[in-house]
Amino acid sequence: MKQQRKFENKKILSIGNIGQRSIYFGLIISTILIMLIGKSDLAIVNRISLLLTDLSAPVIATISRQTQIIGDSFVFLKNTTSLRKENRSLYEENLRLKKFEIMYQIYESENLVLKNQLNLIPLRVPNFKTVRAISAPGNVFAHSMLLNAGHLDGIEKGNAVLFNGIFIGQILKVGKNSSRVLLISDINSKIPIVVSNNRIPSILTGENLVLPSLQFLPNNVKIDDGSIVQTSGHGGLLPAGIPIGFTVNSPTDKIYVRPVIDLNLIDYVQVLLWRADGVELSDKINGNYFKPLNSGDNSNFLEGLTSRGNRN
Amino acid sequence: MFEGIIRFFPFPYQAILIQLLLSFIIIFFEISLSKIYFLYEISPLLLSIFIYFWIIEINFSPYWVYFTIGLFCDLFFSSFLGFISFSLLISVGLLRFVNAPLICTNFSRKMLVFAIFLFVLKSIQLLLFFIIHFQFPDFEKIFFQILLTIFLYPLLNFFFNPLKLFINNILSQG
Repeated sequence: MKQQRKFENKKILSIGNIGQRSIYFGLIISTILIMLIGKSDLAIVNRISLLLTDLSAPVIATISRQTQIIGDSFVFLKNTTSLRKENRSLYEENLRLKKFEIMYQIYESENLVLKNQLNLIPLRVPNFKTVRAISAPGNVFAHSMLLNAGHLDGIEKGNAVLFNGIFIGQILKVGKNSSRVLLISDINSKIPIVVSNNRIPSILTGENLVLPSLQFLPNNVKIDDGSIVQTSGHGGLLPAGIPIGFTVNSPTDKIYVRPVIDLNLIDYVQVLLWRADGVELSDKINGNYFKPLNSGDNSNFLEGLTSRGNRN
Repeated sequence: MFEGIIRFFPFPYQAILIQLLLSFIIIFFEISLSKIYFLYEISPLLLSIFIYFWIIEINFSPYWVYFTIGLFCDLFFSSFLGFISFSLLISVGLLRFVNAPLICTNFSRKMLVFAIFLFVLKSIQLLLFFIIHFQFPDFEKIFFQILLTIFLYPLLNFFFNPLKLFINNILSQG
């Protein structure tokens, strides 16, 4: 009788183990499926993600405020200990900047005269919103940042994000009250840029490392160390001429870009509410690009934009 | 009201609910830690410490709990879904396979198994990242992050101890 009970128990245990194992493997298979679904960028996945981010943004903001206080105290301590050294470097920088101030005034007056002679139409200064970053850049695998403003504040997907006038990334996802920024150092970030010294176009590509690099540079081009890199505005998603950083040559012939600002010191950012004239941002995001016509189909050969910018 | 909620859930589910809630709070805290400038991208893996602590000191929760925690983490940390949940499921499965609570009889063994657990977790994440992007992220930072987490483990273990007593008390009542 006793033996039979033991046998029964074993049977139940083994069934339980099989059940647990099948659940385990089922869950692993479902995570793989989720990875595939996530990569296909389905609207429902984005919506769930945004909803969760929206709901948790106030909680993260509250906790972040406390950790920011701890961070600030460390910064204060660090600054206090290196006060003498910093004072000396500031003095030297001040002397250098005084020299530049005189040069700047000369160049400014010269620039004004030249602009008047050329009848240059001044650039429109884009409208922007200053927003608090409630979480700093993520982890080693994803370089993103959470902002406490969403589409209720006029923020749209693809808007440029600046920190003290320096380009740091683009809006990736927009919720009601929160949005996520894809930083230039993230592996998914590709920004059209120009190296300002000789106007060489290239693509700034993040590598999930400290420094992003330049890709698709024209052949046989030599770029000086320390050249300024700024957005080119190609494609119409970003305004042109926003500074990003300086080039850094490496022994492997790869050219890296050192951002002007430290990405770990970001607290408040500016989101540019900018849209290129004649470019419908939603079309760009939804992928409604102009496709080449079929070679056999010549009935619709005038497809494209009219002189007024409408599609026919 | 609180009593009503507690009566509604059987004892093991109360423990799971507490684990889930604490995990979510730890995730939020871990995200906010990146606001401290020297922890930029290398914030300690507090969630891993918590999950390991729960497995060693309390019990193995059902796999769907780790799946839910991982999925929640994915939504906040990583650029694509399934990245953390997959690696977490594999690492927890390995801990269960070697029956970690039985192996970890003293503190040094607990530390060693924890280091292996972290190493496996990060290795799977690195491998997945490489499969998707054909590129490795910063090894230096990952190594430093693991070291910092191992360094913090004894301290957090001490702080989590009252929680262990509380949950074990709940489970023994069940």
